[in-house]
Amino acid sequence: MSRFRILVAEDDPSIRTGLIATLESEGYEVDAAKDGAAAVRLFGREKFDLVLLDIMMPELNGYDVCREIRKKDARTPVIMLTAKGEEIDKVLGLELGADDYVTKPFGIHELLAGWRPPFEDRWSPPITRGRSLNGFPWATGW
Amino acid sequence: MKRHVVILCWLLVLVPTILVGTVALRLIRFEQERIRMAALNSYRSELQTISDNMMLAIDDVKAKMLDGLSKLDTGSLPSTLIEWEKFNPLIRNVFVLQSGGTMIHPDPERAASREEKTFLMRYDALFQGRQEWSKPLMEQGAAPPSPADNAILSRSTRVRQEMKGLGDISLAQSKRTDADLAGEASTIAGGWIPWFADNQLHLLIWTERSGYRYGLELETMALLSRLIGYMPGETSTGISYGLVDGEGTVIHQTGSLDLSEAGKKVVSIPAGDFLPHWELAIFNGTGALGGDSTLRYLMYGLLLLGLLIASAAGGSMLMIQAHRSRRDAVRKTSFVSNVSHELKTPLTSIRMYAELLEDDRVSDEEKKKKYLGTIVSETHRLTRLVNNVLDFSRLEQDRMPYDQTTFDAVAAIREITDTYSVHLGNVEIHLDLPTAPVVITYDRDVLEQILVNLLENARKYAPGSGPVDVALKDHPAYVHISVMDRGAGIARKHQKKIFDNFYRIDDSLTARSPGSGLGLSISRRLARLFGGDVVYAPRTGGGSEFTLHIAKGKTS
Repeated sequence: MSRFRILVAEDDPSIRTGLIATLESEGYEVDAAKDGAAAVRLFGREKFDLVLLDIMMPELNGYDVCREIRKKDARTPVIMLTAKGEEIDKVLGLELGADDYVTKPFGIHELLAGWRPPFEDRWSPPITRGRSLNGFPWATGW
Repeated sequence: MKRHVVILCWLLVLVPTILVGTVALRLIRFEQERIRMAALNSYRSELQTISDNMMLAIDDVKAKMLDGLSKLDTGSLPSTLIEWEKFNPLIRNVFVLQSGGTMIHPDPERAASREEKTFLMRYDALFQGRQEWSKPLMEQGAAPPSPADNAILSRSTRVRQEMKGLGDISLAQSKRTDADLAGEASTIAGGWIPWFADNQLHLLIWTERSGYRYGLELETMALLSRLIGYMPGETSTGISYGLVDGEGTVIHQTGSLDLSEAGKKVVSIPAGDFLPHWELAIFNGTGALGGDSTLRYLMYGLLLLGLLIASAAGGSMLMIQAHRSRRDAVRKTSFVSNVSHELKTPLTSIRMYAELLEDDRVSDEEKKKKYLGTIVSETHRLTRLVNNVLDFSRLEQDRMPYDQTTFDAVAAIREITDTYSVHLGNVEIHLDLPTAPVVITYDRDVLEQILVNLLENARKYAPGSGPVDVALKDHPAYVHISVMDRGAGIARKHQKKIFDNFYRIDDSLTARSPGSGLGLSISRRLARLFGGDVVYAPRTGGGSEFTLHIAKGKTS
């Protein structure tokens, strides 16, 4: 059985490196893309359990990437990483099919707490679009 | 701004302007007409006064003459009258007619002179009884007042009537004394006959007493010369007073106007009962009154046009201003959001690495060091951005402390690029610098800030396009420092605007590259403060080339 696999799309090199380090320290397998186009290519090739998407990226921005991903796969959870705290930005991301957003600057605990599955092999994609992952059924009911 | 909004705004400005202008023009025209009417009225009353004065004078002459005639001893009629004729310049001819119709003097059979002959010829119809001698001695009231009469007119008319009344009374008294003296009971008839002959006016005064009908013809010109004294000698410019006969010929005028040329009768009134068909008139040459409105309307038109242009220009300036401040407001809003994004990016890195280290998630010492280094360089990045924002607000408030020193630009560039590439390791910088030192007097921090801004832009907007070239060229008056990349370059329509505050080529909600839109704007303003500039040029072979001009040896 393969490890839980995460795709990280982030153009800022230091954040990207930091994310990889953080997630790997949690034991996940991480693939990173430095722009939107690379993220879409990677997603087309490989299978991921979760996508972390930065919004402001060159080539294709996070919204575009999210749209592309949703064309191929409606189930893989997508979490937006955004520095824009505006409501409209969040709404736009969620409308495009993202499952949640994390506002920069985020701490690693915040990032990990929300969606860390209780049992890695029981991971199932969230179906509650537009709601915070903190309210997921397995987070409360399980 | 959308086209229909612009058009709407224009309409909002133009329509009220045109309305106000039209109303103003109408009011002006109305006011003009009112003033003209008032002036005409004042002229008319002035003429009326002159006419009244003339009337009084004539009445005086008439009364005296009639009085004199009625007092004459009928026994020595012709000789006395001839005496009068000789000595009174007002009297042109005299006549005595017997009640039967026989002419006693001048005797038609042997008229003494040519004048007497023509006199007889002139009044032939009268003397032969073909014409009514008309006019009783007492006039039957005044003529009905003309519609133009106003208070002044009616007053003067009243005065005239009163004077007339006085004259009549004195005449009546003299009649009575006559009657007492002569013991005669016969009625006295007499009168005043304006007589036209050979297109000329003649005035005849006559009376009838004791079977004789006698009288005298007045010398019209002599009488007129008396009357003319009542016309104003001095006239205001552009105006002439004239006495016009029945033919329309101006008998006399005061004022310098050449009536044959430009003269135009503005207002006229009948000269009076004694001069039928004659007129007193005011002429006007300059067009200050009445006619010649073309020029005036042209003037008003120009004025209105000026008003229109002025308000339209004012309106459009307001609109442009509004448009600008709206654009600035939009840019500032996006600036705030951009800056917050720019601030949050290094903050995210710093926090993440700090927490990684704090949680002891990293065991590798090498990695720990690297992460600590990243935290430091992200802090530098944060500092740069904060500096940019602070500089910007300082520049906006026109206060910026400078610390000018004299240093070697070549060495400074080496240092700056070294530090920069250490902090952001992924930028490859090629230097093309002269070997000899280039000494400039400048603020080193400003140089660093501008250079780093340009390098940051090259890194941000031309990623993965190879190394960034930095070159220094030493000119006599300027030092040129160029930062060149091999990116996409900048479209012509953006080339000017990239130096505007907050301007970002892609400033949409989903902008692909981060940035505050401040770097170039601040760089250019700083450079200009030191008498230089930052300019853009497309790089030969593709890419962008930003050049900082530094004025050499120039201290501001």
